[in-house]
Amino acid sequence: MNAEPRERQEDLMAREVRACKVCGANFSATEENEFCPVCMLRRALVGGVESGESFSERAPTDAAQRFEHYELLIDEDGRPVELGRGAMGVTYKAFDVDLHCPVTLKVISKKYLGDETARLRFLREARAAASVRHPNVASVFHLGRRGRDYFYAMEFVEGETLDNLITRSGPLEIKLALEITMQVGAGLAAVHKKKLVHRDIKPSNIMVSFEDEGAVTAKIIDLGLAKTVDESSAQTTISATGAFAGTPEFASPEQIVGGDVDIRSDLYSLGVSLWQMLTGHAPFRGTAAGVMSQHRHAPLPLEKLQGVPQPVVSLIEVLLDKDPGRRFQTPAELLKALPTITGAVERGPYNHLSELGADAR
Amino acid sequence: MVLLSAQSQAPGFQVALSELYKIYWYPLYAYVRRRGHAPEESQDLTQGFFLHLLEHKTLGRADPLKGKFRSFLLGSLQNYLSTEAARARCLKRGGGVEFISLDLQNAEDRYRLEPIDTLTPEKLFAARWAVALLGEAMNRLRMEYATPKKAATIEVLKAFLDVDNSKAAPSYEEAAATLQVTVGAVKTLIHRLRKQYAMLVREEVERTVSDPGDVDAEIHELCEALVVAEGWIVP
Repeated sequence: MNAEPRERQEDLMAREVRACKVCGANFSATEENEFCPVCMLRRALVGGVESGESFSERAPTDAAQRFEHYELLIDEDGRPVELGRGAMGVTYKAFDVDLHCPVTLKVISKKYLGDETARLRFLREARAAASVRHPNVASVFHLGRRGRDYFYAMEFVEGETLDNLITRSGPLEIKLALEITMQVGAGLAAVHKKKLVHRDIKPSNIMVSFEDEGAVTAKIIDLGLAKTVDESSAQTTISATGAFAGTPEFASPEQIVGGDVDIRSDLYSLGVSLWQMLTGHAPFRGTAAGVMSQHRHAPLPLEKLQGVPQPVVSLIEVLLDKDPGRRFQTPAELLKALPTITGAVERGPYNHLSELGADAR
Repeated sequence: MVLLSAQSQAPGFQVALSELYKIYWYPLYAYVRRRGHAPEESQDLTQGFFLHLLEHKTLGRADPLKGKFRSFLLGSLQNYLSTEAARARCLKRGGGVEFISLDLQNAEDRYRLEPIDTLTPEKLFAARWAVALLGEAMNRLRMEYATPKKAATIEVLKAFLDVDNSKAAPSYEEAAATLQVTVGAVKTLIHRLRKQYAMLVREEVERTVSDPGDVDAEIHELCEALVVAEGWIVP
Protein backbone atom coordinates (compact mmCIF):
# COMPACT_ATOMS: atom_id res chain seq x y z
CA MET A 1 0.00 0.00 0.00
CA ASN A 2 2.83 2.41 0.74
CA ALA A 3 5.13 3.73 -1.95
CA GLU A 4 8.68 2.42 -1.84
CA PRO A 5 11.12 4.83 -0.17
CA ARG A 6 12.98 5.32 -3.43
CA GLU A 7 9.82 6.20 -5.35
CA ARG A 8 8.83 8.59 -2.64
CA GLN A 9 12.19 10.28 -2.90
CA GLU A 10 11.69 10.69 -6.63
CA ASP A 11 8.21 12.09 -6.09
CA LEU A 12 9.55 14.62 -3.64
CA MET A 13 12.18 15.69 -6.10
CA ALA A 14 9.64 16.00 -8.89
CA ARG A 15 7.92 18.84 -7.09
CA GLU A 16 9.34 22.08 -5.99
CA VAL A 17 8.09 24.77 -3.64
CA ARG A 18 8.40 28.13 -5.36
CA ALA A 19 7.48 31.69 -4.49
CA CYS A 20 5.05 33.16 -7.03
CA LYS A 21 6.71 35.92 -9.04
CA VAL A 22 3.47 37.89 -9.06
CA CYS A 23 1.91 37.60 -5.60
CA GLY A 24 4.77 36.11 -3.60
CA ALA A 25 2.74 33.17 -2.25
CA ASN A 26 4.57 29.86 -1.98
CA PHE A 27 3.18 27.10 -4.15
CA SER A 28 4.06 23.57 -5.19
CA ALA A 29 5.16 23.36 -8.81
CA THR A 30 5.37 20.09 -10.74
CA GLU A 31 6.46 19.47 -14.28
CA GLU A 32 2.83 19.27 -15.28
CA ASN A 33 1.63 22.25 -13.27
CA GLU A 34 3.66 25.38 -12.70
CA PHE A 35 0.77 27.67 -11.87
CA CYS A 36 0.42 29.77 -8.76
CA PRO A 37 -2.97 28.62 -7.43
CA VAL A 38 -3.55 31.89 -5.60
CA CYS A 39 -3.22 33.93 -8.81
CA MET A 40 -5.36 31.43 -10.71
CA LEU A 41 -8.15 31.81 -8.16
CA ARG A 42 -7.88 35.57 -7.93
CA ARG A 43 -8.39 35.91 -11.66
CA ALA A 44 -11.82 34.39 -11.17
CA LEU A 45 -12.90 37.22 -8.89
CA VAL A 46 -15.38 39.72 -10.26
CA GLY A 47 -13.14 42.51 -11.46
CA GLY A 48 -10.22 40.06 -11.50
CA VAL A 49 -6.76 41.20 -10.62
CA GLU A 50 -4.74 40.68 -13.72
CA SER A 51 -5.32 43.69 -15.93
CA GLY A 52 -6.68 42.77 -19.30
CA GLU A 53 -6.76 39.08 -18.49
CA SER A 54 -9.48 38.74 -15.95
CA PHE A 55 -12.77 36.97 -16.05
CA SER A 56 -14.79 40.15 -16.27
CA GLU A 57 -12.50 42.11 -18.53
CA ARG A 58 -11.27 44.93 -16.41
CA ALA A 59 -11.35 48.18 -18.36
CA PRO A 60 -7.92 49.55 -19.24
CA THR A 61 -6.56 51.39 -16.23
CA ASP A 62 -6.90 55.09 -16.69
CA ALA A 63 -6.05 57.93 -14.39
CA ALA A 64 -9.61 58.11 -13.05
CA GLN A 65 -9.34 54.59 -11.61
CA ARG A 66 -5.92 54.81 -10.06
CA PHE A 67 -5.19 56.28 -6.63
CA GLU A 68 -1.47 55.94 -5.99
CA HIS A 69 -0.96 52.18 -5.78
CA TYR A 70 -4.67 51.43 -5.46
CA GLU A 71 -6.75 50.58 -8.46
CA LEU A 72 -10.54 50.71 -8.41
CA LEU A 73 -12.12 47.40 -9.33
CA ILE A 74 -14.45 47.54 -12.28
CA ASP A 75 -17.68 45.59 -12.66
CA GLU A 76 -18.82 43.90 -15.84
CA ASP A 77 -20.37 47.12 -17.11
CA GLY A 78 -17.07 48.92 -16.72
CA ARG A 79 -18.13 50.90 -13.66
CA PRO A 80 -16.14 51.06 -10.42
CA VAL A 81 -17.48 48.68 -7.74
CA GLU A 82 -19.15 51.06 -5.30
CA LEU A 83 -19.55 49.85 -1.73
CA GLY A 84 -21.35 52.80 -0.24
CA ARG A 85 -22.01 56.52 -0.23
CA GLY A 86 -21.67 58.71 2.84
CA ALA A 87 -22.17 62.38 3.53
CA MET A 88 -18.75 63.34 2.24
CA GLY A 89 -17.41 60.55 0.15
CA VAL A 90 -17.95 57.42 -1.85
CA THR A 91 -16.37 54.09 -0.93
CA TYR A 92 -15.13 51.72 -3.59
CA LYS A 93 -13.68 48.27 -3.65
CA ALA A 94 -10.10 48.62 -4.85
CA PHE A 95 -7.01 46.53 -5.26
CA ASP A 96 -3.58 47.20 -3.82
CA VAL A 97 -1.34 46.51 -6.80
CA ASP A 98 1.76 46.22 -4.59
CA LEU A 99 0.47 43.90 -1.90
CA HIS A 100 -2.11 42.18 -4.12
CA CYS A 101 -4.99 42.44 -1.73
CA PRO A 102 -8.38 44.08 -1.80
CA VAL A 103 -8.90 47.35 0.06
CA THR A 104 -11.76 49.76 0.58
CA LEU A 105 -11.03 53.20 -0.77
CA LYS A 106 -12.91 56.27 0.36
CA VAL A 107 -12.81 59.12 -2.08
CA ILE A 108 -14.23 62.59 -1.47
CA SER A 109 -17.51 63.24 -3.33
CA LYS A 110 -17.20 65.06 -6.62
CA LYS A 111 -19.37 67.87 -5.32
CA TYR A 112 -16.74 68.70 -2.69
CA LEU A 113 -13.71 68.53 -4.99
CA GLY A 114 -11.62 71.63 -4.51
CA ASP A 115 -13.69 72.75 -1.48
CA GLU A 116 -11.21 73.72 1.23
CA THR A 117 -13.59 73.27 4.18
CA ALA A 118 -14.71 69.89 2.92
CA ARG A 119 -11.10 68.87 2.43
CA LEU A 120 -10.31 69.64 6.05
CA ARG A 121 -13.39 67.78 7.27
CA PHE A 122 -12.44 64.79 5.18
CA LEU A 123 -8.90 64.89 6.56
CA ARG A 124 -10.24 65.10 10.11
CA GLU A 125 -12.56 62.18 9.42
CA ALA A 126 -9.67 60.06 8.12
CA ARG A 127 -7.53 60.88 11.15
CA ALA A 128 -10.35 60.09 13.55
CA ALA A 129 -10.99 56.76 11.86
CA ALA A 130 -7.29 55.90 11.72
CA SER A 131 -6.88 56.49 15.45
CA VAL A 132 -9.15 53.56 16.28
CA ARG A 133 -7.49 50.16 16.17
CA HIS A 134 -9.74 47.31 17.22
CA PRO A 135 -10.72 43.89 15.81
CA ASN A 136 -14.36 44.98 15.70
CA VAL A 137 -13.69 48.21 13.80
CA ALA A 138 -12.52 48.30 10.17
CA SER A 139 -9.19 50.09 10.27
CA VAL A 140 -7.97 52.98 8.16
CA PHE A 141 -4.33 52.60 7.23
CA HIS A 142 -3.41 55.02 4.48
CA LEU A 143 -4.16 58.61 3.62
CA GLY A 144 -3.28 59.76 0.15
CA ARG A 145 -3.80 62.69 -2.13
CA ARG A 146 -4.78 63.01 -5.70
CA GLY A 147 -4.18 66.54 -6.82
CA ARG A 148 -5.23 68.62 -3.84
CA ASP A 149 -7.88 66.21 -2.60
CA TYR A 150 -7.53 63.45 -0.07
CA PHE A 151 -8.56 59.84 -0.22
CA TYR A 152 -7.98 57.09 2.29
CA ALA A 153 -7.64 53.33 2.29
CA MET A 154 -9.35 51.07 4.77
CA GLU A 155 -9.33 47.39 5.50
CA PHE A 156 -11.62 45.52 3.08
CA VAL A 157 -13.98 43.55 5.28
CA GLU A 158 -15.18 40.22 3.95
CA GLY A 159 -18.72 39.07 4.59
CA GLU A 160 -21.95 40.95 4.28
CA THR A 161 -23.64 43.79 6.07
CA LEU A 162 -25.82 42.92 9.02
CA ASP A 163 -28.62 44.59 7.12
CA ASN A 164 -28.18 42.12 4.24
CA LEU A 165 -28.04 39.19 6.62
CA ILE A 166 -31.33 40.21 8.27
CA THR A 167 -33.00 40.83 4.90
CA ARG A 168 -31.77 37.51 3.57
CA SER A 169 -32.43 35.24 6.51
CA GLY A 170 -35.03 37.06 8.62
CA PRO A 171 -34.73 37.77 12.36
CA LEU A 172 -31.63 36.32 13.98
CA GLU A 173 -31.43 33.81 16.77
CA ILE A 174 -31.22 35.55 20.12
CA LYS A 175 -27.80 34.13 20.92
CA LEU A 176 -26.38 35.40 17.62
CA ALA A 177 -28.01 38.83 18.03
CA LEU A 178 -26.49 39.18 21.51
CA GLU A 179 -23.07 38.08 20.27
CA ILE A 180 -23.14 40.69 17.48
CA THR A 181 -24.32 43.32 19.99
CA MET A 182 -21.40 42.44 22.24
CA GLN A 183 -18.85 42.69 19.44
CA VAL A 184 -20.22 46.02 18.19
CA GLY A 185 -20.21 47.18 21.81
CA ALA A 186 -16.53 46.22 22.06
CA GLY A 187 -15.85 48.21 18.86
CA LEU A 188 -17.72 51.18 20.33
CA ALA A 189 -15.62 50.95 23.47
CA ALA A 190 -12.55 51.48 21.27
CA VAL A 191 -14.28 54.41 19.52
CA HIS A 192 -15.17 55.87 22.92
CA LYS A 193 -11.60 55.48 24.16
CA LYS A 194 -10.50 57.88 21.42
CA LYS A 195 -13.19 60.34 22.51
CA LEU A 196 -15.08 59.77 19.29
CA VAL A 197 -18.72 59.20 18.47
CA HIS A 198 -19.63 57.13 15.43
CA ARG A 199 -23.04 58.79 14.93
CA ASP A 200 -24.26 56.34 12.31
CA ILE A 201 -24.39 52.90 13.94
CA LYS A 202 -26.89 50.80 12.00
CA PRO A 203 -27.01 47.30 10.49
CA SER A 204 -25.77 48.51 7.11
CA ASN A 205 -22.64 49.88 8.82
CA ILE A 206 -21.87 46.57 10.52
CA MET A 207 -20.18 43.81 8.57
CA VAL A 208 -20.64 40.22 9.68
CA SER A 209 -18.82 37.11 8.57
CA PHE A 210 -19.01 33.51 9.71
CA GLU A 211 -16.16 31.10 10.28
CA ASP A 212 -16.36 27.48 9.24
CA GLU A 213 -17.27 26.55 12.78
CA GLY A 214 -20.13 29.06 12.77
CA ALA A 215 -18.41 31.67 14.93
CA VAL A 216 -19.41 35.18 13.93
CA THR A 217 -17.23 38.28 13.60
CA ALA A 218 -18.84 41.72 13.51
CA LYS A 219 -17.02 44.88 12.48
CA ILE A 220 -18.10 48.49 12.52
CA ILE A 221 -17.43 50.13 9.17
CA ASP A 222 -17.68 53.67 7.92
CA LEU A 223 -16.57 56.08 10.57
CA GLY A 224 -17.50 58.70 7.99
CA LEU A 225 -19.68 60.67 10.38
CA ALA A 226 -17.43 60.11 13.37
CA LYS A 227 -16.62 63.25 15.26
CA THR A 228 -14.73 64.11 18.38
CA VAL A 229 -17.01 64.89 21.29
CA ASP A 230 -15.53 68.38 21.49
CA GLU A 231 -16.77 69.49 18.10
CA SER A 232 -19.77 71.73 18.11
CA SER A 233 -23.08 69.97 17.71
CA ALA A 234 -24.30 72.45 15.13
CA GLN A 235 -21.44 71.46 12.89
CA THR A 236 -21.83 67.77 13.48
CA THR A 237 -25.53 67.18 13.16
CA ILE A 238 -26.46 69.42 10.31
CA SER A 239 -24.56 68.90 7.11
CA ALA A 240 -23.57 71.70 4.77
CA THR A 241 -26.93 71.57 3.02
CA GLY A 242 -28.87 71.66 6.26
CA ALA A 243 -30.00 68.05 5.93
CA PHE A 244 -29.96 65.67 8.86
CA ALA A 245 -26.71 63.70 8.92
CA GLY A 246 -27.28 60.17 10.11
CA THR A 247 -30.10 57.73 9.55
CA PRO A 248 -33.47 58.63 11.12
CA GLU A 249 -34.49 55.01 11.90
CA PHE A 250 -31.36 54.52 14.02
CA ALA A 251 -30.71 58.04 15.37
CA SER A 252 -31.03 58.89 19.05
CA PRO A 253 -33.49 61.57 20.22
CA GLU A 254 -30.62 63.92 21.11
CA GLN A 255 -28.99 63.44 17.71
CA ILE A 256 -32.31 64.24 16.02
CA VAL A 257 -32.74 67.56 17.83
CA GLY A 258 -29.15 68.53 17.13
CA GLY A 259 -28.16 68.51 20.79
CA ASP A 260 -24.89 67.36 22.29
CA VAL A 261 -24.09 63.88 21.11
CA ASP A 262 -21.79 61.47 22.92
CA ILE A 263 -21.18 57.74 22.94
CA ARG A 264 -24.57 57.14 24.61
CA SER A 265 -26.14 58.15 21.31
CA ASP A 266 -24.24 55.32 19.60
CA LEU A 267 -25.51 52.94 22.29
CA TYR A 268 -29.07 54.01 21.46
CA SER A 269 -28.40 53.27 17.76
CA LEU A 270 -26.98 49.89 18.75
CA GLY A 271 -30.20 49.25 20.68
CA VAL A 272 -32.23 49.99 17.54
CA SER A 273 -29.95 47.65 15.59
CA LEU A 274 -30.52 44.90 18.18
CA TRP A 275 -34.27 45.44 17.84
CA GLN A 276 -33.96 45.00 14.08
CA MET A 277 -31.85 41.86 14.52
CA LEU A 278 -34.58 40.30 16.68
CA THR A 279 -37.67 41.37 14.76
CA GLY A 280 -36.44 42.12 11.23
CA HIS A 281 -37.48 45.79 11.47
CA ALA A 282 -36.58 48.99 13.30
CA PRO A 283 -39.06 49.90 16.09
CA PHE A 284 -40.22 53.11 14.44
CA ARG A 285 -41.07 53.20 10.78
CA GLY A 286 -42.67 55.66 8.38
CA THR A 287 -41.63 59.00 6.90
CA ALA A 288 -38.32 60.50 8.07
CA ALA A 289 -40.16 63.23 10.00
CA GLY A 290 -42.54 60.67 11.54
CA VAL A 291 -39.70 58.37 12.59
CA MET A 292 -37.76 61.25 14.15
CA SER A 293 -40.81 62.37 16.07
CA GLN A 294 -41.42 58.83 17.37
CA HIS A 295 -37.83 58.52 18.54
CA ARG A 296 -38.34 61.67 20.58
CA HIS A 297 -41.83 61.11 21.96
CA ALA A 298 -43.38 57.68 21.28
CA PRO A 299 -43.19 54.80 23.76
CA LEU A 300 -41.42 51.70 22.49
CA PRO A 301 -43.79 49.27 20.72
CA LEU A 302 -42.74 46.45 23.06
CA GLU A 303 -45.58 44.23 21.83
CA LYS A 304 -43.44 43.65 18.73
CA LEU A 305 -40.88 41.89 20.92
CA GLN A 306 -43.30 39.09 21.75
CA GLY A 307 -41.33 35.90 22.32
CA VAL A 308 -38.10 37.73 23.17
CA PRO A 309 -36.92 36.72 26.68
CA GLN A 310 -37.51 39.30 29.38
CA PRO A 311 -33.80 39.96 30.14
CA VAL A 312 -33.26 40.94 26.49
CA VAL A 313 -36.36 43.15 26.48
CA SER A 314 -35.01 44.89 29.59
CA LEU A 315 -31.65 45.37 27.88
CA ILE A 316 -33.36 46.97 24.89
CA GLU A 317 -35.38 49.25 27.16
CA VAL A 318 -32.20 50.52 28.78
CA LEU A 319 -30.44 51.03 25.45
CA LEU A 320 -33.46 52.82 23.99
CA ASP A 321 -34.24 55.10 26.88
CA LYS A 322 -35.02 58.54 25.52
CA ASP A 323 -32.99 60.09 28.33
CA PRO A 324 -29.27 59.44 27.72
CA GLY A 325 -28.73 59.70 31.48
CA ARG A 326 -30.79 56.53 32.01
CA ARG A 327 -28.98 54.43 29.38
CA PHE A 328 -25.67 52.64 29.88
CA GLN A 329 -23.22 55.51 30.22
CA THR A 330 -20.38 53.82 28.33
CA PRO A 331 -19.95 50.78 26.07
CA ALA A 332 -17.96 49.22 28.92
CA GLU A 333 -21.11 49.23 31.07
CA LEU A 334 -23.00 47.45 28.31
CA LEU A 335 -20.21 44.88 27.96
CA LYS A 336 -20.29 44.28 31.68
CA ALA A 337 -24.06 43.67 31.68
CA LEU A 338 -24.21 41.45 28.59
CA PRO A 339 -22.81 38.20 30.04
CA THR A 340 -25.39 38.36 32.83
CA ILE A 341 -28.17 38.76 30.27
CA THR A 342 -26.86 35.98 28.06
CA GLY A 343 -26.52 33.75 31.11
CA ALA A 344 -30.06 34.52 32.27
CA VAL A 345 -31.44 33.73 28.82
CA GLU A 346 -29.52 30.48 28.64
CA ARG A 347 -30.56 29.34 32.11
CA GLY A 348 -34.18 29.61 31.23
CA PRO A 349 -37.07 29.33 31.44
CA TYR A 350 -35.96 29.64 27.82
CA ASN A 351 -33.58 26.79 27.25
CA HIS A 352 -33.92 26.49 23.50
CA LEU A 353 -32.52 29.67 22.09
CA SER A 354 -33.04 28.67 18.48
CA GLU A 355 -36.72 27.98 19.06
CA LEU A 356 -37.03 31.29 20.81
CA GLY A 357 -35.50 32.99 17.82
CA ALA A 358 -38.16 31.37 15.66
CA ASP A 359 -40.91 32.48 18.04
CA ALA A 360 -39.71 36.04 17.95
CA ARG A 361 -40.34 36.07 14.25
CA MET B 1 -26.35 24.74 -9.95
CA VAL B 2 -25.16 21.38 -8.73
CA LEU B 3 -25.19 22.43 -5.10
CA LEU B 4 -28.82 23.42 -5.28
CA SER B 5 -29.81 20.12 -6.80
CA ALA B 6 -27.59 18.33 -4.30
CA GLN B 7 -29.38 20.14 -1.51
CA SER B 8 -32.80 19.27 -2.77
CA GLN B 9 -34.48 15.95 -2.39
CA ALA B 10 -34.98 15.83 -6.15
CA PRO B 11 -34.34 12.63 -8.16
CA GLY B 12 -31.00 14.02 -9.36
CA PHE B 13 -29.79 14.28 -5.78
CA GLN B 14 -27.51 11.24 -5.78
CA VAL B 15 -26.00 12.09 -9.15
CA ALA B 16 -25.32 15.69 -8.15
CA LEU B 17 -23.82 14.64 -4.86
CA SER B 18 -21.66 11.97 -6.47
CA GLU B 19 -20.38 14.49 -8.96
CA LEU B 20 -19.32 16.94 -6.26
CA TYR B 21 -17.91 14.19 -4.09
CA LYS B 22 -15.73 12.88 -6.91
CA ILE B 23 -14.07 16.28 -7.12
CA TYR B 24 -13.70 16.97 -3.43
CA TRP B 25 -13.13 13.64 -1.73
CA TYR B 26 -9.35 13.96 -1.46
CA PRO B 27 -9.45 16.97 0.92
CA LEU B 28 -11.84 14.91 3.07
CA TYR B 29 -9.56 11.86 3.01
CA ALA B 30 -6.54 13.97 3.93
CA TYR B 31 -8.53 15.60 6.72
CA VAL B 32 -9.38 12.19 8.17
CA ARG B 33 -5.73 11.15 7.94
CA ARG B 34 -4.64 14.37 9.57
CA ARG B 35 -7.00 13.64 12.44
CA GLY B 36 -4.84 10.63 13.19
CA HIS B 37 -6.61 7.74 11.48
CA ALA B 38 -4.49 5.10 9.72
CA PRO B 39 -4.53 4.96 5.90
CA GLU B 40 -6.82 1.97 5.61
CA GLU B 41 -9.17 3.23 8.27
CA SER B 42 -9.23 6.64 6.57
CA GLN B 43 -10.22 5.00 3.31
CA ASP B 44 -13.10 3.25 5.03
CA LEU B 45 -14.17 6.42 6.77
CA THR B 46 -14.04 8.48 3.57
CA GLN B 47 -16.16 5.92 1.75
CA GLY B 48 -18.43 5.51 4.73
CA PHE B 49 -18.97 9.23 5.02
CA PHE B 50 -20.12 9.39 1.42
CA LEU B 51 -22.60 6.56 1.99
CA HIS B 52 -23.77 8.34 5.10
CA LEU B 53 -24.42 11.48 3.08
CA LEU B 54 -26.38 9.55 0.49
CA GLU B 55 -28.40 7.58 2.99
CA HIS B 56 -29.20 10.43 5.29
CA LYS B 57 -29.59 13.09 2.61
CA THR B 58 -27.95 15.38 5.12
CA LEU B 59 -27.38 17.94 2.39
CA GLY B 60 -31.05 18.81 2.44
CA ARG B 61 -30.52 20.15 5.93
CA ALA B 62 -27.73 22.58 5.03
CA ASP B 63 -27.78 25.68 7.17
CA PRO B 64 -28.89 28.58 4.97
CA LEU B 65 -26.71 30.96 6.99
CA LYS B 66 -23.65 29.10 5.83
CA GLY B 67 -24.25 28.54 2.17
CA LYS B 68 -20.88 26.99 1.45
CA PHE B 69 -20.74 23.38 0.46
CA ARG B 70 -17.14 23.24 1.72
CA SER B 71 -18.04 24.31 5.26
CA PHE B 72 -21.08 22.11 5.28
CA LEU B 73 -19.16 19.05 4.15
CA LEU B 74 -16.40 19.60 6.72
CA GLY B 75 -18.94 20.12 9.49
CA SER B 76 -20.80 16.96 8.48
CA LEU B 77 -17.56 15.00 8.34
CA GLN B 78 -16.58 16.20 11.80
CA ASN B 79 -19.96 15.08 13.15
CA TYR B 80 -19.67 11.82 11.33
CA LEU B 81 -16.19 11.13 12.70
CA SER B 82 -17.23 11.84 16.24
CA THR B 83 -20.60 10.11 16.38
CA GLU B 84 -21.37 7.73 13.59
CA ALA B 85 -18.10 6.45 12.26
CA ALA B 86 -17.95 3.14 14.08
CA ARG B 87 -21.52 2.20 13.31
CA ALA B 88 -21.34 3.25 9.67
CA ARG B 89 -18.13 1.34 9.07
CA CYS B 90 -19.73 -1.89 10.23
CA LEU B 91 -22.68 -1.27 7.95
CA LYS B 92 -20.48 -0.59 4.98
CA ARG B 93 -18.42 -3.71 5.48
CA GLY B 94 -21.56 -5.75 5.93
CA GLY B 95 -23.19 -4.28 2.85
CA GLY B 96 -20.07 -4.54 0.77
CA VAL B 97 -21.30 -2.00 -1.75
CA GLU B 98 -19.10 0.79 -3.07
CA PHE B 99 -21.01 3.66 -4.57
CA ILE B 100 -18.15 5.74 -5.79
CA SER B 101 -14.77 4.81 -7.14
CA LEU B 102 -12.00 6.68 -5.40
CA ASP B 103 -8.31 6.35 -6.19
CA LEU B 104 -7.35 5.77 -2.60
CA GLN B 105 -3.90 4.32 -3.25
CA ASN B 106 -2.97 7.48 -5.08
CA ALA B 107 -4.52 9.48 -2.25
CA GLU B 108 -2.17 7.99 0.31
CA ASP B 109 0.84 8.72 -1.91
CA ARG B 110 -0.28 12.30 -2.24
CA TYR B 111 -0.93 12.61 1.45
CA ARG B 112 2.57 11.41 2.27
CA LEU B 113 4.00 14.24 0.21
CA GLU B 114 2.41 16.81 2.48
CA PRO B 115 4.64 16.83 5.53
CA ILE B 116 2.86 19.55 7.39
CA ASP B 117 2.17 19.49 11.05
CA THR B 118 2.09 23.14 11.94
CA LEU B 119 -1.29 24.00 10.41
CA THR B 120 -4.73 23.04 11.64
CA PRO B 121 -6.51 20.23 9.77
CA GLU B 122 -9.22 22.76 8.86
CA LYS B 123 -6.77 25.16 7.20
CA LEU B 124 -5.20 22.32 5.25
CA PHE B 125 -8.63 21.12 4.24
CA ALA B 126 -9.47 24.50 2.71
CA ALA B 127 -6.16 24.65 0.82
CA ARG B 128 -6.62 21.13 -0.55
CA TRP B 129 -10.13 22.05 -1.52
CA ALA B 130 -8.80 25.01 -3.51
CA VAL B 131 -6.32 22.79 -5.32
CA ALA B 132 -9.04 20.22 -6.09
CA LEU B 133 -11.25 22.98 -7.44
CA LEU B 134 -8.53 24.37 -9.72
CA GLY B 135 -7.80 20.83 -10.92
CA GLU B 136 -11.43 20.30 -11.82
CA ALA B 137 -11.53 23.62 -13.71
CA MET B 138 -8.44 22.46 -15.62
CA ASN B 139 -10.10 19.13 -16.44
CA ARG B 140 -13.06 20.98 -17.82
CA LEU B 141 -10.82 23.30 -19.83
CA ARG B 142 -9.15 20.26 -21.36
CA MET B 143 -12.54 18.81 -22.19
CA GLU B 144 -13.43 22.00 -24.03
CA TYR B 145 -10.24 21.55 -26.04
CA ALA B 146 -10.79 17.88 -26.70
CA THR B 147 -10.65 17.87 -30.52
CA PRO B 148 -7.19 17.00 -31.95
CA LYS B 149 -6.57 20.51 -33.28
CA LYS B 150 -7.65 22.23 -30.11
CA ALA B 151 -5.73 19.75 -27.98
CA ALA B 152 -2.53 20.94 -29.67
CA THR B 153 -3.48 24.53 -28.89
CA ILE B 154 -3.92 23.88 -25.20
CA GLU B 155 -0.74 21.81 -24.96
CA VAL B 156 1.34 24.57 -26.50
CA LEU B 157 -0.36 27.49 -24.79
CA LYS B 158 -1.16 26.06 -21.36
CA ALA B 159 2.01 27.48 -19.87
CA PHE B 160 0.76 30.97 -20.70
CA LEU B 161 -2.02 30.60 -18.15
CA ASP B 162 0.60 31.66 -15.65
CA VAL B 163 3.44 32.80 -17.83
CA ASP B 164 5.25 34.53 -14.96
CA ASN B 165 5.78 31.25 -13.15
CA SER B 166 6.09 28.80 -16.04
CA LYS B 167 9.68 27.97 -16.83
CA ALA B 168 8.44 25.85 -19.72
CA ALA B 169 6.59 28.65 -21.52
CA PRO B 170 7.73 29.09 -25.13
CA SER B 171 8.05 32.54 -26.72
CA TYR B 172 5.08 33.89 -28.69
CA GLU B 173 7.09 33.31 -31.87
CA GLU B 174 7.86 29.70 -30.98
CA ALA B 175 4.23 29.05 -30.10
CA ALA B 176 3.09 30.67 -33.35
CA ALA B 177 5.49 28.51 -35.37
CA THR B 178 4.39 25.29 -33.63
CA LEU B 179 0.71 26.05 -34.11
CA GLN B 180 1.28 27.47 -37.60
CA VAL B 181 -0.57 30.71 -36.88
CA THR B 182 0.49 34.34 -36.60
CA VAL B 183 1.87 35.86 -33.38
CA GLY B 184 -1.25 38.04 -33.21
CA ALA B 185 -3.43 34.93 -33.37
CA VAL B 186 -1.37 33.31 -30.59
CA LYS B 187 -1.98 36.32 -28.36
CA THR B 188 -5.71 36.14 -29.05
CA LEU B 189 -5.74 32.41 -28.29
CA ILE B 190 -3.86 32.95 -25.03
CA HIS B 191 -6.25 35.70 -24.02
CA ARG B 192 -9.22 33.43 -24.74
CA LEU B 193 -7.66 30.52 -22.85
CA ARG B 194 -7.05 32.63 -19.75
CA LYS B 195 -10.54 34.01 -19.86
CA GLN B 196 -12.07 30.57 -20.27
CA TYR B 197 -10.06 29.16 -17.40
CA ALA B 198 -10.98 32.04 -15.09
CA MET B 199 -14.62 31.57 -16.03
CA LEU B 200 -14.47 27.82 -15.35
CA VAL B 201 -12.83 28.44 -11.97
CA ARG B 202 -15.60 30.85 -11.14
CA GLU B 203 -18.23 28.36 -12.27
CA GLU B 204 -16.65 25.69 -10.08
CA VAL B 205 -16.83 27.99 -7.06
CA GLU B 206 -20.42 28.83 -7.94
CA ARG B 207 -21.26 25.15 -7.79
CA THR B 208 -20.22 25.03 -4.17
CA VAL B 209 -22.06 28.03 -2.73
CA SER B 210 -25.80 28.38 -2.43
CA ASP B 211 -25.82 32.15 -2.86
CA PRO B 212 -24.06 33.40 -6.02
CA GLY B 213 -23.24 36.55 -4.06
CA ASP B 214 -20.85 34.49 -1.93
CA VAL B 215 -18.52 33.49 -4.76
CA ASP B 216 -15.98 36.28 -4.26
CA ALA B 217 -15.88 35.73 -0.50
CA GLU B 218 -15.28 32.02 -1.03
CA ILE B 219 -12.46 32.77 -3.50
CA HIS B 220 -10.83 35.10 -0.97
CA GLU B 221 -11.03 32.43 1.73
CA LEU B 222 -9.53 29.80 -0.52
CA CYS B 223 -6.71 32.17 -1.50
CA GLU B 224 -5.98 32.83 2.14
CA ALA B 225 -5.90 29.11 2.88
CA LEU B 226 -3.44 28.55 0.04
CA VAL B 227 -1.20 31.34 1.25
CA VAL B 228 -1.01 29.94 4.78
CA ALA B 229 -0.42 26.40 3.46
CA GLU B 230 2.92 27.72 2.16
CA GLY B 231 2.95 25.60 -0.98
CA TRP B 232 2.81 22.21 0.71
CA ILE B 233 -0.30 21.10 -1.10
CA VAL B 234 0.50 18.97 -4.13
CA PRO B 235 -1.43 20.03 -7.23
